Amino acid sequence: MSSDYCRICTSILRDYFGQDVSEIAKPLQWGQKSLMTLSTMLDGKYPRHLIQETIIVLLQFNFVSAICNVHSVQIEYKLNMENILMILRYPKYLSIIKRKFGNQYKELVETLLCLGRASLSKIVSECIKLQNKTDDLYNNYWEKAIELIRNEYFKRTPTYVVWTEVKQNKIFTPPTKNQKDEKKILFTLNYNKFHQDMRNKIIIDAVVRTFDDTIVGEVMSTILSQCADSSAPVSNPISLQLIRSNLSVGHNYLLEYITMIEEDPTKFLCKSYGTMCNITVNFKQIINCLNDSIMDQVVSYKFGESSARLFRATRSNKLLELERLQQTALIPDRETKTLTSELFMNNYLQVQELRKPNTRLGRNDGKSFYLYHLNERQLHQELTEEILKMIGNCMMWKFKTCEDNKRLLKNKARFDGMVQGLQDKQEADKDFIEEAMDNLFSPSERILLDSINRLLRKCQLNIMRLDVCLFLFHSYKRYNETIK
Amino acid sequence: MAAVKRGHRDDLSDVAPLAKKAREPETAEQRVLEIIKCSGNKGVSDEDLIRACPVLTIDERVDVVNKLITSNAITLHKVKDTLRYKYKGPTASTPGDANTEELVVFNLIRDSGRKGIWIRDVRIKSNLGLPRLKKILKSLETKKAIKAVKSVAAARKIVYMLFDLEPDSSITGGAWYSNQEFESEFIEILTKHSYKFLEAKKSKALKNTTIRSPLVKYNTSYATADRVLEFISKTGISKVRLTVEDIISILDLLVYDGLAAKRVNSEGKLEYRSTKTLLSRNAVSFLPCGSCPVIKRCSDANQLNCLNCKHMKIWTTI
Ligand code: SF4
Repeated sequence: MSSDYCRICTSILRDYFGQDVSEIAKPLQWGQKSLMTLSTMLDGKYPRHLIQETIIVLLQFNFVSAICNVHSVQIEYKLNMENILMILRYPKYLSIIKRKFGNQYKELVETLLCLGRASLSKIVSECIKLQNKTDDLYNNYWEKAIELIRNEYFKRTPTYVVWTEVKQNKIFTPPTKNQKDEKKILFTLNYNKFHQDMRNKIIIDAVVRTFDDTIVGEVMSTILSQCADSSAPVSNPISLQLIRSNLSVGHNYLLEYITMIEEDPTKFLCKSYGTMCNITVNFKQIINCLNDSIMDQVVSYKFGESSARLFRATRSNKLLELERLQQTALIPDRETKTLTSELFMNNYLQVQELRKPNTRLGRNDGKSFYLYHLNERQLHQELTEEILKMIGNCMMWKFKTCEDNKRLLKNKARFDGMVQGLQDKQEADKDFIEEAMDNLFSPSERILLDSINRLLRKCQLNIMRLDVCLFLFHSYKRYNETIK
Repeated sequence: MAAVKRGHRDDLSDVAPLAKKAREPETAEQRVLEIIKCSGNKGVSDEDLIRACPVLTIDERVDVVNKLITSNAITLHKVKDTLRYKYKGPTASTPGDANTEELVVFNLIRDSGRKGIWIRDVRIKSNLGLPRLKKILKSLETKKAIKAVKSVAAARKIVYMLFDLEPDSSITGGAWYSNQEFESEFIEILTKHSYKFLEAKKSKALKNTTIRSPLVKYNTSYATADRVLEFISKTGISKVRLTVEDIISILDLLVYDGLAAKRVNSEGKLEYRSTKTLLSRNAVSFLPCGSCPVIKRCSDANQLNCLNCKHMKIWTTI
């Protein structure tokens, strides 16, 4: 794991669980360890029971998994950094659910995110408690939770204390309410499903952008909703009939829309011409296109338009000599040289040397061909690192801002709690709160609070934006590795 | 002089009028030339000539061949101990008062055709010393027999070619060069206009309410290079005549800039359509780190870290 990756994990844990947990989990980043080794490594800084507790908490969230080694007596703990990184996406998950189902569902998901893993009854009751709702809503929430399971947003997970496994066919089976061992069936979030939604959203947006037509987006989203969950590069065939029956608009021109998407150079869809018209989605192709798009944007932002042109020209021509490159991109000779060398130095372009074979006279006349090309895998690796670093930088600033204004923020939090309490009792009066605010905080403090809030929001927003890039990179990696 | 001005292309017609008022020996010359010409690259030996025109006596034949050789229409080659005559191809007439050295140089330059020949190659092939060669070139130039052309391949490289030849596009660089200068601004303007044209075509197609079918709308938002060329010619931006290939390379630039997409239509022609990027604004561009040249060295353990980075400080002050 790279240092940037570790840095982010530490930051996220610190953000979410506090300084202690992140410190305790730090040694685990460099490999799995037993409890004993961990406490020696921490050098008595933390009492053993605190370490134990931390591990239990992290186990609960599946941020740490316990590994029972056959050869050693001890159980070792392994940090699941990928899961930790998912925390960055929590807001996104919530917004997906809210958009798709509504507020109550969102509250359920939120509760489960706070709990890590829990039985359904626990999730529901906890949710009601958190939202200050009355108990008679229990059944209502229960139904909604069952629906979330049916839609595969929640999944069963094996338990640790009493080891239970989950059968493949039962992952998404909801428990009945009065089942005897209902408490033993634990649920967690099914990240895959959320990621699928995220991916679909990005694809639909891309399609709408390409065709400037929202109905195309509808068509695409209907097609995507019929895709079976799989990470195959091409989706299962979907019959036209199925799409038609699920589509709400644009029935008359459905086939035309599909032909349109199919014929576009982006080639998002494939259509089979037979008695049954089946449609498949080229997921791999889509993800590759999207990744190329990010790359281009990054290059053009970093090095300028002309460099982006050279970069893209190299990509579409695979291997190019400098002179040919200049002719294709139509950029003055000297400029081409500087720009390519700049790209080359930053590892965005690679050079392949083709030596002329030695001539008959036994000497090389010194001429080789230098062909420019891209190494997508390496580029992805590097960009991932850079984006991780940027996210880390945003987090550092978040911490610093909070740290610098600790006292003020604490006061504000206390005040907010008070206001919340008053509001719950319906005693709050807008003017009264305003007045209290004026009394407790000086004008300069209020301005400061405002700007802190804005900064924190800005950081958070950018972290989420960058996370989309990470998400696409990750999908790219997955699709391009499964092929081999 | 006059012969040179007429240039090598008129050369064949040059011979034809002669044939009209031809008397015996001149027709013979014609026929021999014809025979040699037909033999192409293989050439014709003396025996072949005898077989081909048995009417000619030895003296006449020698006479004719000699005349042809001196008038530079054919050359003599030795192939496996036999002499063969070969046709020299359409030849530009040499300047009348040229001496042998000049002739050698002139022939070399003529043979290089529209691609021209580099002075170094002339020197090597003609075996002349540089000062002498320079003098010869100068004199040929003043006679307007040849001209020097700057090549775009290298700034200082000068090639020589016949005076009335149009330099090859590999020398001039095609439409994108004027006086051996690369015209980036011209290209820039052309790309902008082409893009505008594509954009207009697309928005017109999308706004057209008479067409209901989305597929037709989509297809009409594509434009072929011919159409773009037509538009560009109409606007009169370009003083040079642009070819379809030139426009295709301009439109390809739009593709490389991510502003257009291209596809091959049912007739096998290239079509272009303006597009947007698949993703909206790039996440990286929201942070100063996105364009930071030292991002690799920026780390918490370093002097250079995000907390005392100037750009980050500016970014975080709201
Ligand atoms: S924090 Fe500053 S130095 Fe570090 S990567 Fe960002 S812009 Fe560059």
